[in-house]
Amino acid sequence: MPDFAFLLARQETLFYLIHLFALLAAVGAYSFSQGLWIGRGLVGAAFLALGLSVSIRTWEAGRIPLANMYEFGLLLGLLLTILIVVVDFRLRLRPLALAVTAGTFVLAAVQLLFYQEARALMPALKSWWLTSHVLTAVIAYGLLAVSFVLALVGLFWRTAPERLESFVNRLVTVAFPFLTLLLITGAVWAEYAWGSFWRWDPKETWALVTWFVYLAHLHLVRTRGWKGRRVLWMTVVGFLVVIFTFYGVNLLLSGLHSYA
Amino acid sequence: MPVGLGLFGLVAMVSIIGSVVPAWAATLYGSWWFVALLGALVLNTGLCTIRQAIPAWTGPARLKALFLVHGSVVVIAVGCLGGTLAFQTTTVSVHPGDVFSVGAQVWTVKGIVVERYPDGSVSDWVTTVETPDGTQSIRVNHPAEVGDDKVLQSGYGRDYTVHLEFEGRSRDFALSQDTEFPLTDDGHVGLALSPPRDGLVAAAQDDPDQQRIVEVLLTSGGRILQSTMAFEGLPLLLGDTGLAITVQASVQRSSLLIRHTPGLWLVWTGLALMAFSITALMLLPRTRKETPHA
Repeated sequence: MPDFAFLLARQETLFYLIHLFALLAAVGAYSFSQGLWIGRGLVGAAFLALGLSVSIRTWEAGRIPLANMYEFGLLLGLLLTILIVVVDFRLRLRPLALAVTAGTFVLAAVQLLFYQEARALMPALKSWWLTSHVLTAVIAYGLLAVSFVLALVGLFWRTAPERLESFVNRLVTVAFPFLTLLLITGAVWAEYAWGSFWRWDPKETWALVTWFVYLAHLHLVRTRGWKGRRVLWMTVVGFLVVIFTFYGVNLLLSGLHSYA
Repeated sequence: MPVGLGLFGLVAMVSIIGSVVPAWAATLYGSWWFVALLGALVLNTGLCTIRQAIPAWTGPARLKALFLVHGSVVVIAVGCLGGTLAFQTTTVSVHPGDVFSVGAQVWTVKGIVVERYPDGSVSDWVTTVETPDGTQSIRVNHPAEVGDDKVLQSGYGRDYTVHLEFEGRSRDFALSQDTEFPLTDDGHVGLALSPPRDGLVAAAQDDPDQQRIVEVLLTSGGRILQSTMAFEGLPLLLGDTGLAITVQASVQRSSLLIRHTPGLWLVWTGLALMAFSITALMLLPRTRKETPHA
């Protein structure tokens, strides 16, 4: 369990905790039809609080926070709070905004377990490729996380509107190029750092498997006309692979990405 | 396409097995049948690319971008194949003043510098070399290149000259940082040397005007039994062991990886093509003419 006394004593983490509680309150507000605008306001507050946390960490570390799992989660959280607003205003369905907000809260809470103080970059991470590689990952994983939540809702909501599935497919379509750029930037960086584009490192391998899954998703929907529950299931399975790529590989398998 | 997706699935499954069972990884990824599987995947993608070529020639821009995406996979694969068949890798450990070969050229190590943050932790390490084309710096993520050869900073450390005395007997030997020298016949107890693990003390050691401090470690089975600080040139008695150790000198060492990879330009071309065509697919609007093929 995180040391809450320590976290409350630091400005950076205090704002992170405010972000967390604002998200939880937003989930509560979205649960009631009268709470829609309160929920939206709380999501805005959550975004501001996390933005402050990221800013303080950036100032303390002297660099953009990109170097470990916790810092990745900070940027991912920022993107997800923006995507809550996108889902809310594009789909105009309160249960969907509730679901994405709940998912964002769960992720933010889990990420707190990986907190570590800001440190200077080790030599292996001092490269422009760190920024491009990690940012493409943040964008790809953020879009896929929202597609996962919405796909889950679609599977359990018998009267889900058709535009939900269409929006899920759109998210995957937009995420896939970033997933591809993630692989490309990773391979190029590996060439400069380790002298080899590809070494079948567990992180590389699972990132490739993730790419395969979503490649299949795109092809089956676009060229085979797949639709309905099997597409939603494929979206769910795809993100489970993403979760293993991000958490499972870092925690269970050793490799060259150990500093992540 | 069903064949392609099936091949993707097979490659994914084998890749996953290799990642979760590290002992099998080298066997799996290096096996002829896995390489054949990858080759079949590339061949399938190539055939798909050729099929797309004709409609892409007269069709909308998005079809051309789709054609380029598939084609880039083939280009990358051909580049990787060339590199895999013909690559050569050498690792050299060098000290200031050493010379080593890179292809047909002879390079001289002018200096090795460790850069540190204010708290003493390592920020970077830089090997400066003199080449026929001028002076170059090699640091992590910033290799030196000449033709198809790349020289990467893969590691660094210190090499020590040690004088050991025990019960009237003495021995002189060289010892690299963090390698174990067996002190007992059965190798159960060993001696290891390293720069001080405390960053600030290590930073002081980097200054040539400061007395050089060395951390002396007694080890057993990888565990540290005892840690003591010593000064270069001054003998150190190791507790009750009766051993006297003198670190007579130390020199900065740089480990360089020299990699010769022909056909690398093809991989770069394929990657650039893929990035360009993926971006084009994102930006170009879909049209009615993009009829999905079965």
